[in-house]
Amino acid sequence: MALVAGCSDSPTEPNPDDPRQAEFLLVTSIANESGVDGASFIQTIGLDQPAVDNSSAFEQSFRPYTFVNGDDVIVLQGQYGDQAFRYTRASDGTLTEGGVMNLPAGSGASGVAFVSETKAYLSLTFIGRILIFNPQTMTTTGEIDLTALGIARNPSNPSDQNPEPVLLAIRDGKLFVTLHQLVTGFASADGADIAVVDVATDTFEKVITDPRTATPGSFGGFESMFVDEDGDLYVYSGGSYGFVPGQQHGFLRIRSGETDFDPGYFLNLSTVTTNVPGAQISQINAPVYAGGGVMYAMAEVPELRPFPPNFARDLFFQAVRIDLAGGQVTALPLPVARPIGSGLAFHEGQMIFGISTATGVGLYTYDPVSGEVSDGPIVNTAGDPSYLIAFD
Amino acid sequence: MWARRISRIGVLGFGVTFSPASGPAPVAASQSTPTVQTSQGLVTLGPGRITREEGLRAIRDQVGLRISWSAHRALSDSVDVQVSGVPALAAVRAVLEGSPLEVQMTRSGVAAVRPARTGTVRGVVTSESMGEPLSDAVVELVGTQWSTLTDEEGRYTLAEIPPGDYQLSVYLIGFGEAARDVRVVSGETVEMDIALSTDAVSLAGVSVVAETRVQQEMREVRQSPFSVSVIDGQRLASRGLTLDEALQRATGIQVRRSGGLGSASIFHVRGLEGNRVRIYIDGNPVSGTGDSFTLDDIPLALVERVEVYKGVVPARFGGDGLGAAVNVVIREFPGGYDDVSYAAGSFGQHQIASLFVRRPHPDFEVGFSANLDLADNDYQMESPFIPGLQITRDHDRFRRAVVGGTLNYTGGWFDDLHVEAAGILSRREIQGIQTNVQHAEASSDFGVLLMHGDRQGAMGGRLDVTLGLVALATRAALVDTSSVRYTFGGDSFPSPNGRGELAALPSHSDNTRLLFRQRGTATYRFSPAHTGNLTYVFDHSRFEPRDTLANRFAGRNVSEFPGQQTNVVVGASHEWRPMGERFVNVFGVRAYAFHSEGTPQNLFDVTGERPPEITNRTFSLGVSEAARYFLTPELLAKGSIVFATRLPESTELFGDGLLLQPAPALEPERTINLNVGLQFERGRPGDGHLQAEVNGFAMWLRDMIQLAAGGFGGTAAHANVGEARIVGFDVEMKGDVTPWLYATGGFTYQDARDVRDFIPGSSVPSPTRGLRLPNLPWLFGTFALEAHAGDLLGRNQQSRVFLETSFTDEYFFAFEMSRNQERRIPRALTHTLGFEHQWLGSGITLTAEIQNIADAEVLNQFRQPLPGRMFRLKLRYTRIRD
Repeated sequence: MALVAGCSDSPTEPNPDDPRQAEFLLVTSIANESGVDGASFIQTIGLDQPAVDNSSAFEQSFRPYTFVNGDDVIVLQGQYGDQAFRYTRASDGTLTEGGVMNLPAGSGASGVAFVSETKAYLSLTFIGRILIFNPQTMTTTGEIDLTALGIARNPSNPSDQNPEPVLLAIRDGKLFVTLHQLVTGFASADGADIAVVDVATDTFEKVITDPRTATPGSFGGFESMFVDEDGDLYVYSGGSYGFVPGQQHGFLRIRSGETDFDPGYFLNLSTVTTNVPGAQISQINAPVYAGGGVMYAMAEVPELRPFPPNFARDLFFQAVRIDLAGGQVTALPLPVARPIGSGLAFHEGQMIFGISTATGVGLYTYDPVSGEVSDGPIVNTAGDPSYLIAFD
Repeated sequence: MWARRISRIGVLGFGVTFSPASGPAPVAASQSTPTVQTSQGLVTLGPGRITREEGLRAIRDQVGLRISWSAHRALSDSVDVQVSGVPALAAVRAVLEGSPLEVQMTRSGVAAVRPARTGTVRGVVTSESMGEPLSDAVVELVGTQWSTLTDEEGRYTLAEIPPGDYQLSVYLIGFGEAARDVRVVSGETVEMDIALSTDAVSLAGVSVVAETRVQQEMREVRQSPFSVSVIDGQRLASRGLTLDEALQRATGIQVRRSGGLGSASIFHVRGLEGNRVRIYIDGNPVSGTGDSFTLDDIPLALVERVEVYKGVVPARFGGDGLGAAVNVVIREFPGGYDDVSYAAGSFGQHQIASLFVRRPHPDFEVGFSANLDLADNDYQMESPFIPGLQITRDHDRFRRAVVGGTLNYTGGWFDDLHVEAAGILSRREIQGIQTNVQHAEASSDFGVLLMHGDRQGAMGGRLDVTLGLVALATRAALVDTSSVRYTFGGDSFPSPNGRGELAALPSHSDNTRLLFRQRGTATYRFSPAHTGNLTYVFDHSRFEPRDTLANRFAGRNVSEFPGQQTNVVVGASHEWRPMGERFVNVFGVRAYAFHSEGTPQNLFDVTGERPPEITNRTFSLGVSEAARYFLTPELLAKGSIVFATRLPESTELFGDGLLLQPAPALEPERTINLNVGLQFERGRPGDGHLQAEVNGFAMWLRDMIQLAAGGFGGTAAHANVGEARIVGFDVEMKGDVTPWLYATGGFTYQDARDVRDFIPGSSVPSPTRGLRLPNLPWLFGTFALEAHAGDLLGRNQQSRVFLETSFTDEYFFAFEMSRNQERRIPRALTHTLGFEHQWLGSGITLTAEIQNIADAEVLNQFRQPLPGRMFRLKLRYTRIRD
């Protein structure tokens, strides 16, 4: 079922007279022949256009990490560059460039959390630090050194001096920093670590660890750590993407008012069975919290992932609904999708899945009330949807 | 691999062939053949009556010219021979005169006596009115390269003409032009006397200048049915250039360098690059060496010419590919030859090259070569990551030693049988661009042993055979163990995962690769107009990667995944040259059989158990058709079409043992290439030469192998996903503007577009359909002027001043989809000015040049700044020994 009927056959510029336009930030990505590099295109869109191209978008490095606060957009280049870019949604709905900030070379910036309009944190994953900056001026105002949190759980690297801070979230005056504690580029030490920093003083307070999983907070998955209506903080831990024997993946929780993991809660997705081929999922991507204890995400279905893989053609990601309290995972009646980036957003009671499938590339919808999905993309995108973020 | 002539001179150098035209050989008078006298290599024979075989022996034994012959009745015939002070080859011809035999010099310098497969036209040109002989009349076979001048007695001889019907044309300034039809028959001599009328005819510009063998072969390649550009290596040999830099001067090719001397280069030909451009040395495929050997390892002094094939690669080369190839032809050297040079350049460049060739025995020749390349590459660049940040590269030092020797035997059944051993040692620091890498470095060791036999004129002169064996071992290592990373701002921080400056894991790898290759070619002349060629290449290689440090840090095996592969490529071609070579048609077929086995990493297998062996078997066929036709003696048209295949590489099939996952089901890439061209050539180099060529091309590629990212953890694997269409044209002109000024220029326009209708594996229209393929240059060219003068600064000296301009228009790094797109490889315009002076008597050449005079910022790979203004000075000494 289409959520919004198209009114035009061709992409249009944002129209300030139409409040439905420009309510989303869309990032689409197109690979070069190298396959692992290319360009991403960032722009504002509405859902009333049957298709959007990239002609008015800003070019960015390939699959950048993107964060939105109000009308401000911060884009990080991850492994592809050492600059942070600011864009602003203008009153006419268009995106305008708003400043650039140079970051330490090779620092692998990956996460942003906003304290206010003039203060935000930025994680520098490869050098173990948190940068404090002013998003309005894009200038650095401070730094928090977390290198001492590198742990020696890997016997080959007992002097690890980098905890690999990735995702950031703020709650009750505390900054929660997920630490990947990598022992390789794709595998974490056992245990999920989160550093707690006091926002008022910008001082490190402690590290909390939960041995039941590993790799907390996904690169680029800004809602893989979020705070629900009750003030509880949930964080998805990937368990080294499934590459390390014995590591489980799932959701941990830090109760409202607490700064330690809730020992009574671990939604272990490694053991959950659901209505997908093989009955199991191995990872989730682009999770979005829809309220009421329900998350939506794209889940990897190992039964659909052959080895050796053909990543260009294999479709092995399934849209799922996750009940955080009950622990049920339910596959939605959307077509299976490619592994490459997915952009999901919950907006005005509708779930929007920006995915790439065998029959469509663009924004599909799911109505949580009726359980209906759109027949195809309601908005076709030019490139894989890497991010779809609803402006506040 | 390089089974044929590389074994003689080699990648590495050393080679050996006696060329009777290039230098006399020391001889001693023979007591047994008192009729032979020599002086400075010239032969006096007779008077007297001897058998032809005795005459050949006398010349061979006493003069040192290597002559091969098979038993033939005519050799036992006694003949009267009397020649005085003639070159050895002329003496052989005198001995053979009147017989159905002929002599031809092989490329290896052997005078092969064989039953004539050619005929001769000779006669006398006289004045029609007076009947007196006319000297210096131009006699030519129309539409061919055969022409000559009459001597003082009006006589002319056009020898070694393939059988066929021709038109003989004779003209002389002040006289008319006469034309006669003539039929040339194998082993026969046609007598054709011509009388010219006295009609006044202006024939301004008519001149005949003898070509050197090299010039002739270059012209033959250019005039072949294939679309090909040719670079004269020796024209650049005295410059301080690397082979990569020299290649940049050919029309239709871009060499996309990533840094200074020793840096990686990508060859780009008509939209194809990387694995899609094949490299050959003397027609032998260079593959299976991993990264341990690059074309830059070949010193330019060893290169006779470089052929850049841009559509169809001759089937006789043996090997797969999509029609784009670079073939380096190694130079031949006289039997006694020294070549020593030293070049110094900006950014700590020093290049020492030496080559020595000796012939201690008439049947043996030995050669030795040693080359040393050093570079600091410490040039300044602006950081492509932080605008405005100036960086002085300080960890880009390169060291390379190339040593080799060869032994050549000419006394057996093979005209040449030689053995060569060579080695390359290189060490390269790794320059960081994003971060300030200070410790990581790569090294490679390369050793090759090869044997090669070359026999021409077997089976009554109809069969040429070459056989080659190659055994090759490479060892490559990446050492990246630093526990600290650095920024260009002076900061440092711990390596993210404990050790390593480059990647997520440290490395102390030791990757070995072993290759055995056998190659054979047979060329059989069914008739003067029909020649068949059969080529096969058999390869077997094993690769054994190992990195215990990476394994230790990963806590599992991430490196030791050995594999092996076997290739058999068989190519057959038929060449048809009717109409006195006015028309040439080459039809070729190739069959590829490929078998590989490996045990690739499976990151998804959490048990960490060794995965089962994976195999890939591929069989494929390719067909090519190419033709050339002389519309006039100066204008030819050519066209070709090929259905070609590129087999997957082992890395594409088996991954890298880490995040690059295997893709053993890969299919070969396939292409259809179409090329049409016109070529005009008048005169000879140095004498009013003008050459112009325009080629149009179209290519359709499918099943292009590209990397596809897989998602979590950065995993990726290759897949057959790309489809492209490339159309374009290139134009090339060169010639003598004046007797002292030579100009060359050319440019290429190519339009490479994505033509995928749908996103792979879907029914979704591709958003990039019709868009220009990103990160590929689309308009580029070169222009050069060269002024030369003799005795400008003194007697017996020669000077050259040259100015070269190179241009590449800007292009996008990614698909151009937005009007706000900014990431581009900027337009590059550079100029090089140089001066070369040669003291002809002493063999000394001095060359000085300034590259990139304007110090322009140049990149030809994204985020890989190249050196700015560079100075180079080279001193070279060459000597041909008696």
